[in-house]
Amino acid sequence: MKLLRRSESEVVFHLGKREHDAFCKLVDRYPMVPSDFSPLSRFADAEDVGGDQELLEESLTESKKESKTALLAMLNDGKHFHEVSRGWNLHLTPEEVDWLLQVFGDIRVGCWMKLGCPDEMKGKMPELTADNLEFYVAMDMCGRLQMLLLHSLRPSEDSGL
Amino acid sequence: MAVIEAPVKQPDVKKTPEEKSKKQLDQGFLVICWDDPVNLMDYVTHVFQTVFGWDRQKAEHHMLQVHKEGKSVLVRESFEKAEHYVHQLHKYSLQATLEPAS
Repeated sequence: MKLLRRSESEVVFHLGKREHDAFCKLVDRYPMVPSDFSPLSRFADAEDVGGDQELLEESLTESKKESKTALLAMLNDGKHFHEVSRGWNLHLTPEEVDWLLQVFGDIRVGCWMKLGCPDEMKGKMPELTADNLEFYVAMDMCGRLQMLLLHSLRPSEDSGL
Repeated sequence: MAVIEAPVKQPDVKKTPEEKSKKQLDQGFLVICWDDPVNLMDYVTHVFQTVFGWDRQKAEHHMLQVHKEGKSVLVRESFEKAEHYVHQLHKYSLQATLEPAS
């Protein structure tokens, strides 16, 4: 996936045919992170925040459900993906880029959880098997796509590309 | 001989935000972001810029604090506002919580 051009109102990426297939299969995993993955509070009185925790989880579940619907629409509405000679051009508003960052953030964290939450800085390496290798690859792909999306939003800032 | 009174079951009533302890409400709530080994540093910086409207420098400062110290206190707010920010941060799959400021 490559950044073709950007303006105040639109960002356009090009994806080769295989990249387009991979993109579709990747976002098909969304959502992966369970809504209760992070508590509302670690130290507050449970009685004080218990009801709020439930509401927060419900709200997050609903938000991800809406996101999933929007994702499916994006893949098929003919407005976002335009077929070109050697693949597809993806047209996004800056707000949609930010939304896709959330989507890839969810998939990346979800894959990380599937790998047993490895922490390479602390020596906890992922235990790769034939069964979980796909999560490692998907996590890496999400990271690369996130960097590309970030660069498209803030090209004047060094995003490591 | 001591008499042990049977426990009285309290009605299952959850506290509304208004009923949270006065001390907590007075002192507000801290929105804290906790370190994780999966979210990219540039991504976390972007999230802080987007959710709080901070400039790059301030967002990066807090991102580095999360990375090096394990957590960063992002803002101190009323319960409702703190809850809103935590919800926004969870949408980006960051580990964020609100904690009483006391």
